Order: sequence, then structure tokens, then C-alpha cells
Amino acid sequence: MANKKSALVFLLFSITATVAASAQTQVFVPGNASGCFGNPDDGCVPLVAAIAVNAPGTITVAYVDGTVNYGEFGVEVGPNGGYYPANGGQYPLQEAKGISPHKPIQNMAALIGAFVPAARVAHKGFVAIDATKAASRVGIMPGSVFFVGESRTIEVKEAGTLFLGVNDNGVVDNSGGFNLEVTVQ
Amino acid sequence: MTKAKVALVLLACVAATAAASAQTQVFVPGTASGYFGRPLDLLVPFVPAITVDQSATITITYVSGTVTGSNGEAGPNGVPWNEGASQLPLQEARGTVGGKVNNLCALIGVFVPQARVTHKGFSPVDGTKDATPVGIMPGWLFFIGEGTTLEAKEAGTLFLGINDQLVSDNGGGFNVEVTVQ
Repeated sequence: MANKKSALVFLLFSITATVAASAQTQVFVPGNASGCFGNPDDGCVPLVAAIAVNAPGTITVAYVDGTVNYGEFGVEVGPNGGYYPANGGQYPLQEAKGISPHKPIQNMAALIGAFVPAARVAHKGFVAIDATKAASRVGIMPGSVFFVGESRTIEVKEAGTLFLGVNDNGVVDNSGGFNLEVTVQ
Repeated sequence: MTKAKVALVLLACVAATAAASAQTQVFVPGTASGYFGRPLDLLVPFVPAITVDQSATITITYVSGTVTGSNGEAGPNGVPWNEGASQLPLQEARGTVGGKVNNLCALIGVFVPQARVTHKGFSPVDGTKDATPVGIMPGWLFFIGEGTTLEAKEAGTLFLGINDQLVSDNGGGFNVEVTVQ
């Protein structure tokens, strides 16, 4: 009985792992999903959960379509982001590096991502926002945020979830978003 | 010219040897939170304790002193406290918030690589708060308490501070001995 149970559990686990090891999904990332990263932040919209893997794997994010308007009338940017003059703030990708140069940037509202280990995602009180803002019991460390742009492939060494968002801190006036295809192998 | 080069190399070797075995005393004021945690009331940078120009073993030892505040008096291991919905520096280091802790006002530290310390605009405060052109990543902070030994794998500076975020009412501080081998 015990052996049959073990075999069944192993079989189930293997099937799940196989599915997770090769999967594909479509995700929409709204233009205000900054994850509360950056300073000052005016809207705390969590990053979007794109895909979860239960084992090491290769995750590829590919831009499909869509643009983001970051509050400037008539200005739309794609997943690589756009130019924005110095304004005294700190953007998510700058917070990720612990810098705040207050200089013009070339990746305003670009597509960004963060891979979060399964243990953290499953932790009670986890929310996919900046963990340094005291806005959730457990959050995402800024240092794990990275640029995605039009496409990006990452090798993950453990189970976890890929979250996606937008490189902006003042997001209440943002609109639009990016449609993406995410695959795991 | 060749002699000058030899002298320069010799000088560099002597400096490296000195750095490889050094000792210093540092005072860490009770307000030196490095602007870590939330909410915040005062920006007081961390204290530079020692700089190494290569990989080294750094030992930090508490000597004397206490940190005083509205919550009482704390030694280097800190004291129990219910942080509520706030975030202490060591909690920010792990990306967690609030609840009961046993290390309020404890002695904490961070080792910062030389390339960052020498970067234009660097200040030993939280790099995620838009408070400095170049700062320190919260995830690098660690608990020291009465003492700890750190294996630095590259050149850089050890900074020391206090595990508290509302520090305007803090007083006192810790005298600390730092040795490098």
C-alpha cells in the first residue's frame, strides 16, 4: 500500500515537473504595474505573476504587442522603454542597483522582471511588491529586479515564480500595457 | 626609472601587508541607522570601520557602551521589541516587515566592495531610498551583536550601524574593536 502510494506520488510529481518543464503562457502587464519599486512611488500596483516553475529551467519572455503611456500626452513606449529627462526620482531599475543618479534615462516604462524563489512566494503575507517599503509582510528584494525589454531568457536554478512589471515609479497616470509570451523549457 | 618602479612595487607590498594585519577602534553612535528600515526620521550614515585592499578576515568585537532610546537601553545584541507594521534594517535586509524581534538597536554591519565605495556620490546609506546617488543594498546587511568574523572576498570597506529606524531619540553608542588578518 505504502509502495503504491509512493509510486503514485512519484508519478504525479513527475507529470507536474514535465508540464512545468515545458510550458507556455500569454501575459498582459499593465502600464501601472511598478510593484511599488522606485522613489517616490505614487501607486502600489503589484508586479504580474507570469509563470511558476517547480524545478530549475529556462524561461523566455518575448514581447508580442502593446505600448505604455507613462503620463506624457501622446508619448507611447515599447518594451525597451523610452527617454525621460532627469526629474529627481529613482526608478525601479535604479533601485535594483542601489543608485539614484538623477540623470536622464533611456528605459522609462520598460518591461522589467523579477524571479522569486518558491519559498518566498509561498510565505504567508507575500505580495509581489518592493520588500523595502514596509508595504507587505513579505515582498521582493529590489536587487532581484532586472531589465527584460523586447525579450529575455533567464536560467533559474530553483522553483519559483517570474513576475513582470514596468520601470516607472509614478504610475497613477500610466495607461496601456504589454502583451507577452512566456515559455519554460 | 626601473628603481622607481621597484620602489613603488615595494611600497604597494608594504601597504598590502599593513592592511592584511590591522586593528582599529570605532565608535558607532546610536543614531547611525544608515537610513535603513521604515518609517524613517533621521538620515545618519553608517560608520566606516575599516578598509581592506584585498581579501581578508575581519573580526568585529564589542568593547563597551549602550544605546539608549525611548524604549530603554540596549547592548550590542539588541533588545526584544514588537515592531508592529514597521520595518527594521535587518528586516529590510530580508525583505520582511513587522512583528516581534529580539534585536532592536543591535550592532549591525555591511561590507561594501571598493568599486562602489569609491564611486562618485557614494554615501553609506540605504541605496533604495533615493537618498544618495550611490548607496548600499539592504540585502548586504548582517547582524553582528557582541562579535562576528567576516571573510571579505575582495577589497572594500566594512561599515557599522544600529538596527533601528526611528533614531532621532537615540543616544549613546557602541565602542567596537575591528581587526583584519
